[in-house]
Amino acid sequence: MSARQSLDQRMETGPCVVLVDDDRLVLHTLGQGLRAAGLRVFAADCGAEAVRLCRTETPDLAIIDIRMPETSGIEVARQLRTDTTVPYLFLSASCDSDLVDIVVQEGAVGYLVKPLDASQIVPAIRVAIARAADLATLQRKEAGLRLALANNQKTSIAVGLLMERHRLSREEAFDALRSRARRERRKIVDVAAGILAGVEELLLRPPDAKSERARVGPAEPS
Amino acid sequence: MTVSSPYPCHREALVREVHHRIKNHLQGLVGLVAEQARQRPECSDCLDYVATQLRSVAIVHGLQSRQPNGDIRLCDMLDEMVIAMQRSQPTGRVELAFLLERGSVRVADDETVPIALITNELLRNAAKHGGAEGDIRVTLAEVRDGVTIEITNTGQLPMEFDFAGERGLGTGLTLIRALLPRRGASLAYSQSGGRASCQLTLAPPVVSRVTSDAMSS
Repeated sequence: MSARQSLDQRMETGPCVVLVDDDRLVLHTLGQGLRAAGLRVFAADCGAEAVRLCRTETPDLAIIDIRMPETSGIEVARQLRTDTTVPYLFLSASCDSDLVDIVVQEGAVGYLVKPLDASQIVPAIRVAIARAADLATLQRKEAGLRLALANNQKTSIAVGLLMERHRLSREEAFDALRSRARRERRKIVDVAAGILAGVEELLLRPPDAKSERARVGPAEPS
Repeated sequence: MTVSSPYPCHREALVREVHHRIKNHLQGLVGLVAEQARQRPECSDCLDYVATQLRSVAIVHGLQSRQPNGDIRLCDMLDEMVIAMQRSQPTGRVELAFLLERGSVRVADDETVPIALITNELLRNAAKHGGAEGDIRVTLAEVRDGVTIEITNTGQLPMEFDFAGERGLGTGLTLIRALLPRRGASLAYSQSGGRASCQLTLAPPVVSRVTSDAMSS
């Protein structure tokens, strides 16, 4: 196997990054160094191209130079945050604390100060990719927990309504809700949401309609 | 380079001094690399190559230290690059011809280093493939939208070589490909008889015409 083939194979399997720097010499040398270290590198010499590559290639990480003409690195990061889930770290020749504060606020997973040696920054890139993956997992879990909490709230309110309307105990009200869900082959939370929607609709009706509904009486919870 | 000063003449002098010092430091590095090449003949090829790249950037800063506002004229850059190439590599006869008014083409500030490094690669290739007995001709001429630097040398382009198709590119041509500005620059190769030729065409925003008033100032 030739050295070139070997490098290509590693490039196929290594982490994928989008590298953006308006200095083409830095872009070339750093890009070649990262490729030699086994990373798959898509190079961009402007912010707009970097955003396009992040959308089409969905890399593991974007490595963004802060100071660029037209679209700045900070603006690239904002677009990535809005349009993609690609994590990013910044490159800069400056370690000015105000700039670091901005980078922290922009949600970067890292900050590297130039001049950079490719072999030295590879560990930082791998760590940033791993932490970004952890963060994405935590965000997914949080979204799941929020949904579960919201569903629980709906079910609890619906149980409370049934208890109040029909003078049932908590267990009886919940059993009634569950029985109806089974009978209609729906989720308990969907039945609960239906009850809440019905009450909301009733509350929003004009007084006459409400009194008419009151004479008819509430639907059997069953 | 941006330097703040309430006195424009001071700022100008300071910028030139900074360029002058950077040029000197880079030339110092060239000397150190050359020393290593002498001590380690087995590494001399790659060390000599690095020295030519450092020297190219030193030429840029040297020119910026001499011109008002750090302007670099393409003719001056080519002149110095050709002289540097002759000093660093064994070459046969080298001709340099300007088919336009000298000093009439300015290189954009951001593109000076990339253009110098690209030119260095092209000249090195011409010297390498033209051989010590061959001859090299460098011509700078006007074209419709800008200028063309044509470098020809005795020799044949390899059969598998295809710059546009990115086939048969070595380290130097891969660097050229990476450094070539996306707008206002193109590179083409051709073969005519026993001579290989490359044409580097530069147009705005990479280069711009200099007015007669600016040339005389």
